[in-house]
Amino acid sequence: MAAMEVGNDVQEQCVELLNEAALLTDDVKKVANLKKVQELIIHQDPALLDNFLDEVVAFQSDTNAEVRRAVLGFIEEACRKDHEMVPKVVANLSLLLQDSFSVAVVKRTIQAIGNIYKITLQWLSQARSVTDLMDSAWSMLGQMKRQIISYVDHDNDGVRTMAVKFMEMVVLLQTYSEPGSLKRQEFCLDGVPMTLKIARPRKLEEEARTVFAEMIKFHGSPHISSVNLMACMGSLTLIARCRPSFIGQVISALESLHANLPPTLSKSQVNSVRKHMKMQLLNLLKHPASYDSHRNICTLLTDLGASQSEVARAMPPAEELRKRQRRTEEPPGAADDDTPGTKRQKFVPEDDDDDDEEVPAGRVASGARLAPVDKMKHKLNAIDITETWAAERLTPQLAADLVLVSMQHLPDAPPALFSNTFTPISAAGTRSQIQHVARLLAAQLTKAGLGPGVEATRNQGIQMTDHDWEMEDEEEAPAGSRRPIATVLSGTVTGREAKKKVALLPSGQMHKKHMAKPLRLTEITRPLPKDELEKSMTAALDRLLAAEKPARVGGLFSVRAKLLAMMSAHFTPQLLDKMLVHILEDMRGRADLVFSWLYEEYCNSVGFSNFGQVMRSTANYEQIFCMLISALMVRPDFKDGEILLTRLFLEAPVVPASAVDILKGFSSDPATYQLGLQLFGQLLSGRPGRQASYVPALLQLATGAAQEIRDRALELVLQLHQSSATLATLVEQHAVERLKWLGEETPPAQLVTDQQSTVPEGVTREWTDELAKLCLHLYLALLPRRESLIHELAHVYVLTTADVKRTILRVLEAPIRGMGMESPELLTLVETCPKGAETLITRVIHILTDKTPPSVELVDRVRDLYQKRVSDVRFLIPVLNGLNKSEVIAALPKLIRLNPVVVKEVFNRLLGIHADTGNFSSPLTPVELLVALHNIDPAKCDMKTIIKATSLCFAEKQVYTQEVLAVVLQQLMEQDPLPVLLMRTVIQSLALYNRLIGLVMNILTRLASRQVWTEKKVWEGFIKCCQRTKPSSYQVLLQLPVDPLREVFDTAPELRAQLRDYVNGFTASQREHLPADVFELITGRKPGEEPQRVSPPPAPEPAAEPPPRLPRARNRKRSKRHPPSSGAADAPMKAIDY
Amino acid sequence: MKSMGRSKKSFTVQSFGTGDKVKLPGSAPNKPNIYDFGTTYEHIYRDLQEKDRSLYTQNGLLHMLDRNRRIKPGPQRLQECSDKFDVVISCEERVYDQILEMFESREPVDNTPVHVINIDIQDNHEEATIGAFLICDLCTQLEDSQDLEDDIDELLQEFESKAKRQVLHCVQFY
Repeated sequence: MAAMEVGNDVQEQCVELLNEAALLTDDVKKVANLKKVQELIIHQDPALLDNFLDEVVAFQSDTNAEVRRAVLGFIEEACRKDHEMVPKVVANLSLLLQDSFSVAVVKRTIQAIGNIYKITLQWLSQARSVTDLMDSAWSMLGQMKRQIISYVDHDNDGVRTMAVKFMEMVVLLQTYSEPGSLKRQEFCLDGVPMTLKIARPRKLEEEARTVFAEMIKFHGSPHISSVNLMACMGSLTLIARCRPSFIGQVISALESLHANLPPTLSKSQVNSVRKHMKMQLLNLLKHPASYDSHRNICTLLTDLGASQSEVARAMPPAEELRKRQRRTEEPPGAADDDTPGTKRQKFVPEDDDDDDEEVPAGRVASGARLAPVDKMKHKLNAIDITETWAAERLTPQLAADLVLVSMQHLPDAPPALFSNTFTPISAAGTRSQIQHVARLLAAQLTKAGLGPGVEATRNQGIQMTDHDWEMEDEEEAPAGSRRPIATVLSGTVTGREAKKKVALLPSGQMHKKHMAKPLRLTEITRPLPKDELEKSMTAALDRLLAAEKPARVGGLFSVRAKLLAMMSAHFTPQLLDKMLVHILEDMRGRADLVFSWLYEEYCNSVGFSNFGQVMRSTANYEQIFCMLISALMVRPDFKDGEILLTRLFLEAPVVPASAVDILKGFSSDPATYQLGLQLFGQLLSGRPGRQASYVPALLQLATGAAQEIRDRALELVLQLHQSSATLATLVEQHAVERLKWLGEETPPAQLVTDQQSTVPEGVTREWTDELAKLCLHLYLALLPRRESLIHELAHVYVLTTADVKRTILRVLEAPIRGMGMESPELLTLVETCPKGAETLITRVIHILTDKTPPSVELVDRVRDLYQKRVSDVRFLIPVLNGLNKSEVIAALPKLIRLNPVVVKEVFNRLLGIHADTGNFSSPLTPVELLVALHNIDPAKCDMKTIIKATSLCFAEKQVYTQEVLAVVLQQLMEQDPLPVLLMRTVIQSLALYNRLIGLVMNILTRLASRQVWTEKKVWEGFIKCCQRTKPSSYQVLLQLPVDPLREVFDTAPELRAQLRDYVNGFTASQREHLPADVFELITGRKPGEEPQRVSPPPAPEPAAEPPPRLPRARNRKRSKRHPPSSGAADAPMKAIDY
Repeated sequence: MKSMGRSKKSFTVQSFGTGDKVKLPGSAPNKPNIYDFGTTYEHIYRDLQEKDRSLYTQNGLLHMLDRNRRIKPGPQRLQECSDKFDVVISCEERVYDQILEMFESREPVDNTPVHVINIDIQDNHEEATIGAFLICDLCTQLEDSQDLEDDIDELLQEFESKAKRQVLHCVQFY
């Protein structure tokens, strides 16, 4: 009974207080009344909560912010007291969160929602079953959660602070507690069962990480206010202390903050922030889990000015550290057996979609908890990686360079912050200091998004987007059975959803207040009429264009450029012209604008524009690019334009095909080709990926008529040809195609138009030297690089007209020489010479052997060709020196029959005339050659030709010296039978070299002893020789037997008288040596007889030698054995022309 | 050794110590008078009166204790106080550090923000008087602000430049 009375009492009091409050105008009292009610209900009679909730909550529409805040306090307490209240108030919270009149209310709401969110999750986890009501409340809270998290970008500093705290709460709530955590009795993910369908722990944890990443991002944002920064720092440290797996990330965030304090902070704010950071770090240091990061923390602390003793005091006792170390070394599952772990084990078997199902439960628990640590390790490595990278490179040299480079950026006076915090570096140059500097640099680099660390972790960055949120919702909802909750705000409750879902309406709202909808620009705006739109745009553009100077002065230059670029993307042609004129006025100064514009267009064209398509773009990227470059190309003041043009081609996002065409046109203009081709060159090296698209243009340039352009373009084409196999094929195809045009009867129209010469209709075009060369340039340039192309030429050559053939043969020299004799392709060509291409092959071989002796391979091929297929001896000429002796000798009859000029050439080759003496080697020595000539079978070659050939030899006095001829004569003389031309050669030699007389005499003597009279032709020559060599030949004549001598006298009667006179001058003893019949023949008397007419003996000739005795004696013997043959030679040796 | 507390100008204010003990100046710099927290002002007043009445009258200590004992029973320690403040002001960096340390060692429960501000004021009468006005001035401004959270940064900067004093500031949470 007593209880009832108390209850009634309380109820009455409450009614009274509330009624009073409703009428009160004094807000302070109103708040006091509400507080009293709250006190009464919550603490004295919670059963009344249900009755009065609506009444109290109704005050939320009170005009006074304090009253609304009091209501929030009540709501919070109510939910804390009775979880069932949550669904009843979530909608109210949602309304309060939108409170547009008082920021204080919003902040209080965030605070309340934080608590209620936590309470609700706990409630869900502990409830036996989840009702629709709970489900709705939870998802509505989820929505609010997202909204609050987005408030991190709110305009109000305090709201942002609260949002950060809220995020902290989310992170702590939605992660598992860890062994190293601060002892917190709070509810967290440990208490959420795996089976909770509407709030999957895995998802929650994932979300927590996303939120954490957001916090880190916020923490590092450059314009964060000092309050926010400190709040965020505090939250991060708290998270790190409660969830040690985040420690690494937090520390690197602090490091990066320390290296890049927001520039907006004032001096004292910097001090406060640094102090705060120091405090946070000391706190972290105390935490045993920070053991791994101690080095970094201590460095940071020293930087912040913490003394050694401070650091030492904050260090956990060494014992604990050791324990910690041990723990990390042991397998994690074995070491910790605290409650959270065991708690989770319970849930594992029930979880159907957990991947770790098969793994023993104990491992799962620890494994699941360690996984995030690994992840964190990855993340934190961005700075670590860069640090190692930087430390490796930080040599004194580099450090000095860095200092020098940065010297010019130093301000005149040290900034306050610097002088405040600077402490002289005591440990300069030591390893630890270098490491420290590296770390600082790494933090800066990472912050700036540079360095290997950033590269390595780039893909691991977590981005929280709305999309992610959506995904999450959808994933949670199997097969679309659940949709996002219908909200009062959006009012989009479809019938089906309404049935399925419990719509939560705000409590205490008897008369539904019209709440402000969030502003959606697209809903309330209507497109402008077209002409008005254009007018505004024109005006806006004019203003922007005019505002160049103010913008530059005001530091808004880049903003202006961006604006213009974004606008330009939607310009009409007139506006484009305006823009273009503007740019061309100052190309250098407005280059940045050009690029902003181009990039904007490019983004539009490829569809990643960040700017909604308000208007359809009127001109596409390609058009604009072409317009710009065309405009630049026609500028007379080219200097500035040139730079911009180059930049355009090299730095624009993409060079469209039509621009390449324009550039081609530009390059074929003799006035500008240098720049044009230079641009092509830069494109090739600067945009290697798109080389293929420049090939056609370059090929055309490379085959053009103007030589300078062509040469320069050819260089580029060759460069391309070398750079990749596919491009090479392309180039070669083109070259071969052009080459094949040569095979046509008249030049193809394409070639003529290429050359831009105007040929009147109907006139048949003729191949000219120029036209033919046009087809050949590219091909010939490629030839030394791609030798296999030579076969194409051979095939085409066969088809061409005589004029073209001549042209080809003329231009062939350089490339063939470039290919060289070793080229296997050339050898193959010689081997497989097509019919009709013999002249080509000959030319090729000639070119090859012009300066150098032929290689063995080449000789083999040519010999093969000569022997098996084309027996034209002219093939052999170039390779003569490569053939062997017998081959040359065999070919000689044919060779000397050729036209005299060619024969001369042959001899030159064989004798090495005009060749480099160094590497010349002939298969035949001069001696052998001449001997060979003498030995040519007269049946194969008529005598006259041979004589001509020998004459050629005699003409080469340099080669056929006296000594050489002597050897030749000697060799010839020893042959049997004697060569027909022997005596002719003797006489010729004698004519050339008088001093050979002795040898000649010797020869004659020996011939006499060899019964030369038996060989008619030689005998005839012998007599002639004797006639020419008298009086030296008298001695020889005297050695002849009588019959031959008679023949001599018959042929040359004058000899008889001369010889008689000579004999008459003999002494008696000398005469005795003469055979009687000879004597008689000469003198016409017996040896004993005195001459009828006494004439004085002729004075002995100075050159005449005393008659050799021995030969004579032999002669005599021989003459006895071989009676002289009678019968004069009736075959006159007319052919031999002495 | 104290967090701010003046109750005259209609602020809701409390004053606290942050150290382990209550320390008051003694006969020599190295001989301070030390009391435990929990000792009443009354007790201290009497104690000092007994020790050296003239000295402690001269240095104003007795006067201060007299004023204090009329406001509250004894010195309070901030760490032991469960009330929640919007702003805590300290006059010495060492105290500021202690306050921060205290907040850091606590676990925030409902995340109500509190601004901790330090203005260095030397512990002598002259400075204390100037300091009192400065702080009063600051508090008026803070009080007048519609949205303290949003304005505090700006207010403090203004205050700094006006008072030509360095201010430390930080936000903590209950």
